[in-house]
Amino acid sequence: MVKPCWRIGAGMERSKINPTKVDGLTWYKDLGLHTFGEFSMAMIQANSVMEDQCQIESGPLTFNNPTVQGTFVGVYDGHGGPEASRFIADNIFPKLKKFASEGREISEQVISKAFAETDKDFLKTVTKQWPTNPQMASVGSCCLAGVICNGLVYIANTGDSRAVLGRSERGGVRAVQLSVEHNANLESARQELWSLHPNDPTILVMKHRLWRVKGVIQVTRSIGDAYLKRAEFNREPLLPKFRLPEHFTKPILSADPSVTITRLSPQDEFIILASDGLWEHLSNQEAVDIVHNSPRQGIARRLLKAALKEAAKKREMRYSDLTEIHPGVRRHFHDDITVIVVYLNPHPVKTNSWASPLSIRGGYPMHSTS
Amino acid sequence: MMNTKKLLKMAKKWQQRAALRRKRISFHRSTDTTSSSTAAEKGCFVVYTSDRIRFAFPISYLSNSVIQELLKISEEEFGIPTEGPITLPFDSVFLEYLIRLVQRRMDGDTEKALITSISSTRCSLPCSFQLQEHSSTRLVF
Repeated sequence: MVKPCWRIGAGMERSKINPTKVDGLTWYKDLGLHTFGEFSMAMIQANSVMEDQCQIESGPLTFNNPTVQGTFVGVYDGHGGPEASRFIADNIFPKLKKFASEGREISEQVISKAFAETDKDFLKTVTKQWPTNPQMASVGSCCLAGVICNGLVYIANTGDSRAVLGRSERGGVRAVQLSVEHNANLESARQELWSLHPNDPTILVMKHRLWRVKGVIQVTRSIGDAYLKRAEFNREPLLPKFRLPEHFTKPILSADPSVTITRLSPQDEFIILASDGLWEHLSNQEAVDIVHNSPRQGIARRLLKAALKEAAKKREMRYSDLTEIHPGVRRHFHDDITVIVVYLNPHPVKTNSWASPLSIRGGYPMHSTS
Repeated sequence: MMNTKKLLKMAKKWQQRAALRRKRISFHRSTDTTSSSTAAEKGCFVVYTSDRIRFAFPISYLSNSVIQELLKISEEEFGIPTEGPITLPFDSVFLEYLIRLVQRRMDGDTEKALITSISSTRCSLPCSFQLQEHSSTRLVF
């Protein structure tokens, strides 16, 4: 039974003023207002259960210091199931607020702590569920979080989602990548793993012409994936395909985010945050050009469509036919895709947004074939 | 539930028929061309076989469990391609044979048996020629 349903997060009461929509497998919010300008969100499901999740939170970033106002954006690209990405969407922002409240400000440490505690708590859940639901040990998620606050943008990333800044330049726009990615097909990620595991000749294995950690997973850092973090899960009843032949003592994957901090300038127009499903089909420059040259209303859906058109072309089929394919089998044609475009207003409309905190959550749950 | 003996007999019959018709079978198939010069057929998706033959099948075939199994096998063998079309780890003769079976609208049990058989034998099946040679030892072929 296929049934569409969706929900808006903590800002449920704001659903009338901030409507989000579902059209078949697409979830979207064409245009909304955050602390520092407008934003647009869109997601499309390809897996039988939507594994991507996303959220935008705008307003106070601490529980105790009303002067710390800002925007939090999260893109969570799950794998092996939706549980890890949903867990992040439920937990990471409250944790960020908790740690930010302790220091009464946002910092790199605050964000990193929120990542670490989210991972720790998810692993606790895995331990608790191990006797009844051991497959939770093989569920994980990438986690990309952006915090815009006090003229700075913090981009924290664990996994291979990406944040790209559009900076205006001589009549055009230039793409500036803000996120550092952790995918075994990047030289830097491979070097990191090889140096962390010098005595493991099979830490990285080439499979299907792609590098994979232990031959099973492309991302080199993630939230969840308990089977690659703690040896206690590397045994029955976990499915054999997730079990490693040799015992390990040191965690193979880490949840540490790579954090970049950028001071915003008046030339900085917008930031695109998206799961790798989008970047597989659009280059950074292609994406920023589309955003720069198109109306703001529905820009996230426009990017989604551009990526799907490219996916259809690669599969030698028509875009209109691609859109007819049901979730599940559709994963053979493209991945789940999440894209959020956050416009950066050089003059924050503070008075408006302080009065109206915003909370929108996307992707939970969309279509489910169960 | 159908017994194995009956299934084997049925499969043999199909195989003979498929062999007879092989020359007459015509799908939207063409030899390997670059994607830029290939027109996308309306209402179709495309797969390539290991001998680089291009097949375009109606989108509706994607809901067939045998086709879905073929895509899964492709994913296990090659991963999901990020840059180009889907390739199946079978040659065109075998794919034509399978598609004939799919078009004949098997009953549920036969379909399940076929899927099991494809899944369990695929590792040793680089081409259909071998498949036919070993047919007597396998459930369906």
